[in-house]
Amino acid sequence: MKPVWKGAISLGLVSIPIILYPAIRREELRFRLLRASDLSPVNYKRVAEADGKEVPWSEIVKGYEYEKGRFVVLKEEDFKRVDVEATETVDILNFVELAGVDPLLFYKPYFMEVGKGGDKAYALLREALAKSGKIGIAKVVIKVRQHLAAIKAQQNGLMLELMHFPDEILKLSEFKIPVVRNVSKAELGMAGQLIEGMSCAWKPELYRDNHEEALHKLVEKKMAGGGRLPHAPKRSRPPSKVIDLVAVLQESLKQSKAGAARGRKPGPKHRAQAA
Amino acid sequence: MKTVAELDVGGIRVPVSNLPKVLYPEAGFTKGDVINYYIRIAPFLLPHLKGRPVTMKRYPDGVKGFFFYERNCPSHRPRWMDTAKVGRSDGGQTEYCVINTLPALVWAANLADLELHTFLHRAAAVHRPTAIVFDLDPGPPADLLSCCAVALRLKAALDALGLECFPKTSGSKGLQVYVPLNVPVTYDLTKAFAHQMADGLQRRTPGLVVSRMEKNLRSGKVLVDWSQNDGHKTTVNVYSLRATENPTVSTPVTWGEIAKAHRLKRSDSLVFGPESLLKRVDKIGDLFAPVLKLRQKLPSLDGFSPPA
Repeated sequence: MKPVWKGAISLGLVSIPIILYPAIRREELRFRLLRASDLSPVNYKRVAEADGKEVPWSEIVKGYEYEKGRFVVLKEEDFKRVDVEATETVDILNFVELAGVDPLLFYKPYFMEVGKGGDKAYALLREALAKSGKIGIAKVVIKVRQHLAAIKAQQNGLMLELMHFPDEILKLSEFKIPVVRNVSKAELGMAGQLIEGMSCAWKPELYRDNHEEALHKLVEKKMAGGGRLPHAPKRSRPPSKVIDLVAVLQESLKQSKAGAARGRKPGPKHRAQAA
Repeated sequence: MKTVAELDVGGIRVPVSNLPKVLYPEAGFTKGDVINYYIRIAPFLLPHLKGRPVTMKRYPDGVKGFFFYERNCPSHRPRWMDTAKVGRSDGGQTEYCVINTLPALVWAANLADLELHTFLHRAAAVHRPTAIVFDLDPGPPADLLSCCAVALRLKAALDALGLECFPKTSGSKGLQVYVPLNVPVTYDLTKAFAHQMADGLQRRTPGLVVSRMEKNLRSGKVLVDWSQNDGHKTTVNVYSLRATENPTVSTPVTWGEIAKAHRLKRSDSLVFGPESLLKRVDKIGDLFAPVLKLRQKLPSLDGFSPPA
């Protein structure tokens, strides 16, 4: 597996060499887009909205749309100016109680392998974290972006979990939430019974991605069948009908003119009558 | 295969091509259907386009395909096509198409110009808007119904100032409210008025309305976009088709219809396709006619705050 990042945890005077690996493997079938008639892969081109012409990378700049259709342009050097220093350390800022942190904030887990010569410090940090029930809150720069992150003890290892900055989380009050004051005891009891009836112990192996499994099976079946060629695309209508379409339009034009000749003026009816 | 034919539009021959080409795959709505719609709506639509530079939003491969805004009237335009040169903010000039006549409209429709976006001014007086527009743009999960709620508040505020206003659907997810002026006025004045009004609405109903443009502020709220009151901005024209999955039309609606949708919490009665729209205008006429005629003076907003 490829490491995502190499560096060191820094806390005070201590520095622990570590290597980050993603803690999650998601195996999804990937599909390519093809032209139906001959299965040629379809590619994307970057084209200008103004004239439909393709734009080479060398002529592309980044702009922020501050109001519809109006941009301020930011160049490479502008981005560099605000770039946070790309350090190779996970800087632990504080230690906090895990229970006090909203679980919503954690979004991307990595496992930490220990680097050369860090065994003792690594083990020490893990033991101390596990004992205290606390997590380290740190800042780390991965690929030019600065992230907030948590260092947690996980079984006999350490992990790093990227966190949202707290102001990124929307407020629940911005969404439609019912305000019900008079829930009756009987209703609450019934709902409670329902939950009780469906309760069981948490067994992770019970939950699987059925959709992905079904897709896998389907793809395997099609491969076994030699990958049937697609049907030739159907023409939507025979071209002989074009003449009729023109006749239809010509008829519409006649009626539109007839309407005008009758003196039908567009305008709200009551106004026309009042006139 | 390109199939070219000619239409006789009141003596002017307008070439049309690829009529069977499906532009709205979901509905099977073809280029021929698009041209037919614009021909049939023309008596109602043309007065609103008259004299106004237009930006064409073209979908040569249909609504699911590539699109572009065409500001410059294409050089291959017919001789009889009207145009207007308008100065740009960068000092240059753009020569816009002006759709004054039925042949011009048919010609534009044949370019797969599904959407017509017009300015609030006419070419003859580019610094003088003829109306104020409030573009109500919902940020999901806010929707058309949220726009109705905001539109009703906006109307109450404008009523309190003695201003009549007229709503239309954007044909997509929002609503636009027009305040006809048709008197000498400048964009500086109309924009400031709209901005103040939008800020006032936001102060009154911060949970519902946002008046600043940033997309992240918009979630669950309705942006009251005042910035469209600008000599460089266009808004989708009334009766224009929209490039939505199924063809819909930017449709004038009555305040009664908006209040009813708001009351019943159902907005489907405010959505019109080409066929239902044509039936509707045949029955009730052009609800937007007053936007072109009604003369109203812009009052001062000093010390005004929208009613709660």
